[in-house]
Amino acid sequence: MFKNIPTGTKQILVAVLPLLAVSILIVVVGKFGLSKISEVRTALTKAQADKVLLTQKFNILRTVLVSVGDAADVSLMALPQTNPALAVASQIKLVASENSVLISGVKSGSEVADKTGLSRSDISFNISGSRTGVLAFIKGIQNIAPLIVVDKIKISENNGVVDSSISIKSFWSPLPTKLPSITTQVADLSAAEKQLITDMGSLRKPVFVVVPPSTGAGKTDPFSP
Amino acid sequence: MAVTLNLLPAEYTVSGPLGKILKVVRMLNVILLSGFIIFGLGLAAFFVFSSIQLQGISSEVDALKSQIVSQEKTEQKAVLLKDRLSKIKAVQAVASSNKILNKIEPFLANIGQNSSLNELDIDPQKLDLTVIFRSNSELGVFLSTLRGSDVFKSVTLTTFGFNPASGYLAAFHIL
Repeated sequence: MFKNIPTGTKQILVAVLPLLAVSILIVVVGKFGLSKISEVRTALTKAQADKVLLTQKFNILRTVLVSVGDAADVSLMALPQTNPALAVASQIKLVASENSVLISGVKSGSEVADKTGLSRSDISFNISGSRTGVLAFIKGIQNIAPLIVVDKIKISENNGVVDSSISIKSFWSPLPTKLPSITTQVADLSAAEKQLITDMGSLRKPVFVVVPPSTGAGKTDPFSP
Repeated sequence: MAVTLNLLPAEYTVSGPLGKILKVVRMLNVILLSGFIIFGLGLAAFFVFSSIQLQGISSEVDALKSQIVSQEKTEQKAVLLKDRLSKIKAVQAVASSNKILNKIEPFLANIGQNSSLNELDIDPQKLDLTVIFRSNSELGVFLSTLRGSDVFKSVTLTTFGFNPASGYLAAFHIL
């Protein structure tokens, strides 16, 4: 068949074939090369962004958040990780004695899931005293740690003696269990957060008494005279 | 005298339009091949340069990551602090009876020495107050103080009675 093709045409065909081959090569190599370069450039852009973020994060962790330990302890005292009903009961008794009111019938409910997503326990109690003492007591319990919210107040007065039944809500929340990924930004504390930390620091903290272990008394060797 | 010899057999010579096309095609071949070589070398060089750059920045990023890992305890405290602060804000947003108590407290001082606070019932949305006034002047003072204030959205006198022994009983529903 090829013998019937004129010489000129044959020569042109022979010349066109490399042209086609080079054109195809340009397309294939170009596509492959450009895709590889695009991958590398994308990775480079991401690495540059990560570098900026990590540098900023390291600077914040190293310098600005130096005192975060104390602030974290204060915030944990204001909102504990376990049910603080005992600590709250202790605190309200202290406030009651300071304001010369008698406290009785302290009851704590079981754990409830609050609308805020936190765990909650409702505590109710009765107090008795002068009007000023009772009102001062109610104001006083607003400034205790762990944080409480006064839910209901019922006051009745008879011959100068005020009896009141109060119910409050105490909250707690488990600690976070996971650290965010290393490339997640860490934001510095805002002015509002710093003020909140200051406010929490001024709350009346519960007093915990640590009972030391008892030491042995008497003879170390019971068989000695 | 110069003699032009063409040893190519006549049947292999290409002349005329076909010859011109052949020349053009051969020229295009050379141009395209040169272009391909330059293009390929350029791509390779750029790829190598970008790869070296990426390697450099990746090692810096790895160094930063190890430095941050060494600050893990600080980061844990920071995460805990942020978590607690956001939840404390949620607690502070919970409706409380304190606001209403703080509003009514100044009025309780106007009840009068001989009068008594019979009942005060407060929840985060409303307040029910019942007072026994020994005299109508003490009642008048209390009512005018309450009427003159714009602290509350509404004050409704729900019950009003008189007992010669105890005095005037007034019950208010306040929002």
